[in-house]
This record gives sequence, structure tokens and C-alpha cells, in this order.
Amino acid sequence: MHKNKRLLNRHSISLYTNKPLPSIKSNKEKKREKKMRLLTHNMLSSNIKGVTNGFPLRIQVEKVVENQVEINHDFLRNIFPKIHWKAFSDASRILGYNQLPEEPPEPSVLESDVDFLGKFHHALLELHLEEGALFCPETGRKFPVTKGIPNMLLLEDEV
Amino acid sequence: MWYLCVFYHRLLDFRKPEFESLAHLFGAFGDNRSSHDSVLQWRLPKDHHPNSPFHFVHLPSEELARKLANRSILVKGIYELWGEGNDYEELEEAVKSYPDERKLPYLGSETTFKITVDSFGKVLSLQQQNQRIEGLSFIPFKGRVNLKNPDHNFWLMETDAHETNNGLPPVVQRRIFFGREVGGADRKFIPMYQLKTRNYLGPTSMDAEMAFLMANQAQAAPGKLVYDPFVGTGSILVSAAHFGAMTMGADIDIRVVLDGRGPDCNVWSNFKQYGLPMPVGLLRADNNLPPWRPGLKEVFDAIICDPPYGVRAGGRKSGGRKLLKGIIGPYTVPDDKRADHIPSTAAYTLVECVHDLLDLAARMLVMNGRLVFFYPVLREDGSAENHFPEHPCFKLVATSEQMLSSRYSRVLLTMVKTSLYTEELALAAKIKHLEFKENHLKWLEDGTLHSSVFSPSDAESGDSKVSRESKPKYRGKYV
Repeated sequence: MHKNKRLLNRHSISLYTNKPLPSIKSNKEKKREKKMRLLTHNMLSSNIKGVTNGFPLRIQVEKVVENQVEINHDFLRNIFPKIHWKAFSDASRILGYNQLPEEPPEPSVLESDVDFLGKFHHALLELHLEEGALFCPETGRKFPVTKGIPNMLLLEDEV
Repeated sequence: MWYLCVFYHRLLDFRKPEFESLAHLFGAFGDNRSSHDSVLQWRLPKDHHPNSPFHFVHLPSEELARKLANRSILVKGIYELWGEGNDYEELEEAVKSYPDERKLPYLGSETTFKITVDSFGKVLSLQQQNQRIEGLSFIPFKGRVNLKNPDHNFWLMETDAHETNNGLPPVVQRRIFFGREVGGADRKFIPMYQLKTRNYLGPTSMDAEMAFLMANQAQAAPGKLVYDPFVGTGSILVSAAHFGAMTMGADIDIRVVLDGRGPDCNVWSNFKQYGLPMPVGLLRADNNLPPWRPGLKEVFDAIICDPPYGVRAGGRKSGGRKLLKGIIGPYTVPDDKRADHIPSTAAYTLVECVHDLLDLAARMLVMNGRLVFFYPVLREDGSAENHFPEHPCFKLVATSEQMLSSRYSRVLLTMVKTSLYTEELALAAKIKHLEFKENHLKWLEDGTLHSSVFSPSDAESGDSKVSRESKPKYRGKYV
């Protein structure tokens, strides 16, 4: 068994390292990479042991980017009823976008109001938090957002 | 109407489940999405074994048959059968007696056509193929031949009886089929996605063909949101995105989701490589303690994943060894070290992992949403059917086994959410969660799959031979 295990490890190491490191990309190209969007923020909460009001996470902005994404009406209609509107529109303002109403709109606007659909789409999928952090509203614990990926892993004593 | 469905002769266990999932997706059972009990009617050609590539299937419309065949990975073609027989006289007889109103619209002088001769289990030379095509001259073809882009494709398919093979009964008997093609699979995109051309790979990246099969089982489609809690290099989500679904993924390993192997070699670049829309979200999170907000439920249309079974890659969860073993009292991180502290993780047994997965899926899937995942089984067990995980919210609709070694297989399970996630279920899951946490060591000791798969074979080889013979037999290495 021991021998097999060693072989296995060597195998995985070679898989991870046998490719040459890719060259550094220009800044312009880097911008195309996608970052944390408000859809993700709307779904996350702090799940530290003992915390009861871990939602919504407070956003600290270091860098926001906007990327054009093709609009998908079916997806927007599908996801709309699942959005916590207050948290969503508040978060969009923190990222510097002030076009969303504070009160949750009637679902019927999705069918009739193309203008609203565009705004909803923009805030949900085109605003990206590239660098920053999310903070637990109860304990103030910081969850860093690096390269658009929120790190929600807890420390040993928070589990 | 009955159609002749010809499958590729690979991944035999996956063929019908894929077909049925797609039939369901395209509305073969009406718009009623909760019709998971409905099944298609299947029929085999005379004396064919269920492993035969030839099947007859009843479908409500040709339109549906075409859509299904075009989307499928394992359907070679679906045909309107004009005739079949044990020899060419019988075939001629059958084609002649097939109603003219079904035949004549496809034989008109303003149409173009092509006849393809295909054989299963034997090779026909070009000369033999031409001979057989000339033998079809009793059919009144009025149109012109067009080999590149015909209006109508006709197929002549021939099989011979086979000897028994490796103790298995023959799959086909001699039979000749002639029919008009309704639709065929486009497998051209599979080589494009094959792993050897993929930018960013890990040791457990999912094979492209299998990933597409998983996405079909999950009925990935435009407008849907698909989640993979063990996203790794994103190989499963790539296939879901190919079929138009929005994707979201999480992984506990920050190296995988954050850095990959450089700025142009990470999960994002795998999507960019194929011009697919990026995942709507990637995060680092623990499947054992998912960070979803309270009250959030029924957001994902499908969850597709390949959980870590502890053979090629082991699962990890947060908590750390020290806390769980309880060797050094309650574990605390000093305040000055918190910012850069890298939390240690604990081993995550398959049992707990699957329990968490089912609980997460029960909560986060929409009604009639699908959970598709691989589950390993030791082949010695024999009666594997009885050991699949269960959950009161889910109905198991398909199981497809893929053999990985002589010791173990993995089975693709497809489950459909058929009841709502209730408060009681949430509470029961929470109790179970704590039970796992408190008995962490016991679960680890209960033998891992890794040791069963890699331990040397029994020295006392007397009974190992017996067990080898009692194992189910398989056809071919892909089966």
C-alpha cells in the first residue's frame, strides 16, 4: 500500500508541474477576466459558529470593473424571484451604480420593461468586485475578495 | 411512432439514461415537468441482447427525435425504419410492403439523397458496399444523388451473429435494417473539448465525453443555473456552459480556484478557451459548511459534481486536525496571526461528503431540479444497487456504472428533487452534521476506499480467484 501511495503522489505532482508557466498577460487582456458579481454576494452569508445574522455581508471596495456580458432574458426571469432585493440594490450602490429602485419591483416589469431588464442585468452580472472584502455584519470578520474570488473558508476556531 | 435508435457501442450503461433525460428535457412526456415516473417504451430487435446498439423506441414526434439525436452524445442516429430482415430477400419484402405514403415524399424527383452502408461487428469493403446499394434498386428513387449535402439520408445497416465473447452472450444476431435518418449525434465538438487540449488540468479533471453526458443527465439548458460544489478545474461546468447553462462553482482548495497555474491557465481561462460565458460566480467555500445565506433555497436548476472519493483525490473540510482530534484543547488563533493564518483542514470522508451534498441539493435545487454525481462502489460488493445514498426529497431516476479498475467502479447517479425541503429535514441534517463532527475519528477509521482499492491482493490467493469470478463481467474497457 505504501508503495502505491508514493506512486500516486508522484503522479499528481507531475500533473501539476509538467506545463511551462504561461507568460504574463498584458493588462488589457487581464481585464476580460470575470470577478465577483452581485449575484454571488446576494447568496452569501457569514457562517461563523454562533452568528445568527450573517447576511448581508458588508462590502469594502478596492477595485470594481465593468464587463459587458451578453444579456440572457430566460436566466434573468429565472433568477429574479430568488434575489434578496434590498441587499442587492444596496450592494449595487456601494459599487457605484445608482439606477436600481430601493423597493423590490413587481415581477411583471420583467416582461414589460426592457429598460429595467437592462439595469437589472447590468447590476447583477456586469459589475464585478475585483479586489476588496466582505465583512460579517455581526462580528466584523473579514472575508477577503482576491481576483474576484471570495474566500469564505473559516478558521479552526470559527467552525 | 416507433423509431430505430442506433447507439454508439460504448458506455453501454449510460445510453438509455441519457436518451430518457433528453426526451424528458425536450418534452416527450408533455410540458408537465413532474412526469418523472413516465418512461419511454423500448423494444429490442429479435434475439438481440440488451447491450445491442440497435433499439426500437417510441417517440411522440419526428421533431423531438431529431432534437434528441442532435443533442445526444451516445446516439449514433435515429431512423424511420422502412424494413428489416434476416437476409436481403426478407428486407426487400419488408420495404416493399412499407406504406407508400410514408416513402414517396422522400423519393421525389426534386429531392437529393444519399445511401450509407454501415455494419456492426464486421467490415464491408467498398465493393461489397456498392453491391448492397445496387441491391436496393427495387426502391423507386427518383431524386439525384448528393453525397455532400443531401436532403434525405438513407442507411442500410447490417449485423452478423456473433460468437459468445469472454463468457458473455452475443449482443446481436444477423439482421439487416433499412431506414431514413431522422437525426444523428454531432460528436465533432467532443475532440475540440478533449482534455489534452485543455489549458488548465488537474489530476481529477473530468473526461470531456463524460462531462457532456453528466450535463445531459442534468438537463443543462439556456436560462438554467448549474452548480458544482467541487469545481476543481471546472471541467464539468464547461460542458454545462456548452449547452447554454449559467454556471457557478466552489472549491475548498484556494490554489485551484484562485491561481490555477498562472494568469492564463486557470478555471476562467478554460471557459475563455472555448468562447463560453464565464461562470457567474466562483468561490472558495467548504461543502461541509456552505456559506449560503439563511432562507436562500431553490436557486439551482441542477447540481453536477464528482465528489472526492479519497482514491485519486481526498476530500477536505474545515476544522483542522487539532480541533477534531481534541488533542490540544479548544483551538484558537492568536489575534495578531489571524490575518494571514492558513486554516488547516481535516479529512472529509465520503459518507459525510455525500450526506452534505444531498442536504445541500435538497435545499438549493428547484423542484424537479436534478442532482447528478458519481458515487464509487467496490466491485466485490455485488449488490451495489442497495447501497446508493438516499434522501427523502429525491427520487433516483438513473444509475450508470463505469468500471475504473478490477477493484472498483463509479456509478453516475441521477436524482430528481420530488419533495420540498422541510424544517424537519433541515433539523435532522443538522443533528447528523454534529454527529459526524463528534465522531470524526471513528468515521476515518472505518476503512477508506483508498485502502480497499490499493491494498495488495490477498496473499492467500485461494479465495481471491473465486471472488474474481463472481464479479460482474463487462464488455470492453469503456463499459
